[in-house]
Amino acid sequence: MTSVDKAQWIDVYRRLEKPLYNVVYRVIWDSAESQDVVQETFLRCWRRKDDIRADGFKALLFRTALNLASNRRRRTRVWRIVGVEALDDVADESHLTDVFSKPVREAFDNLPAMLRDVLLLTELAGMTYPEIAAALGIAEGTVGSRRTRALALLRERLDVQGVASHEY
Amino acid sequence: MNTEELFKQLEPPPGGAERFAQRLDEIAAERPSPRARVLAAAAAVAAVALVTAVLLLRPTSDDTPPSVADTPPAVDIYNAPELDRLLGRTSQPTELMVMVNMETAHVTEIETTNEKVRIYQIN
Repeated sequence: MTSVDKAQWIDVYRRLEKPLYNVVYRVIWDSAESQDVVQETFLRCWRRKDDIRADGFKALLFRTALNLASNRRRRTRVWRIVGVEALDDVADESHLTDVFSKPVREAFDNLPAMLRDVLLLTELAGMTYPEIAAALGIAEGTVGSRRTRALALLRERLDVQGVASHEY
Repeated sequence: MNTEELFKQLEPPPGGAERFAQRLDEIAAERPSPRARVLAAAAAVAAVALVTAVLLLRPTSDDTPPSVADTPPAVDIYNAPELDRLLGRTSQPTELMVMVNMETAHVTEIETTNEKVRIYQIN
């Protein structure tokens, strides 16, 4: 990645913005925040571009995006707990999109992070199992088993909440 | 809602690439972060404090103990004949003088077979 110039970097952003956005969105459930996290991901990787290996680039991008998204969500929850509502309008959920209902968001949110991350990458990132394994630092076989468990848990929680379980 | 709907690809807000390009430009022109500036200032203060401490704690001529101040310069110590053997130098022969009852005695050297041994007879 030593000779990547700015135009190339922006081109990479254009190609990967959508899958990254979709992964991040299902962690923080806010379109503007999600886009900001995606851009922050690319900016961070840009600063380290000379140290990045081309074959691990995609894994690094998604790993960074998931970390940033988790941090952003944690920060938002902390602000809610301490009651600082004015900051970032975090206590106001009206800005959250209505693409997904609250039960669906909660079903995702209640998945353990290690399962949720695998599920998001397998279903939304267009990554292969080896790429996901590299991104998350786990064995390839674990990717499949975690995906199965994550889907089962998601289905179970949506069933409990009565969200059209029969359609699975 | 089925799984396809749960994982359908949403479109990010428009203008993302343009905004990203702007942020990339801002990075290129950005000044050091506040944290970097604080660290640089702290390093400068530490350096000044270190120099000041060295200057204040450095011994001055007035602080030198008298016994040390009165010591002859090192070069004289080096030339002392007592150090000849220690330093591997050849001793320079000097005239032997023996005092007996506060008067200089006459000394006669007696020959020996060992050149490192000298025997004198005091008359």
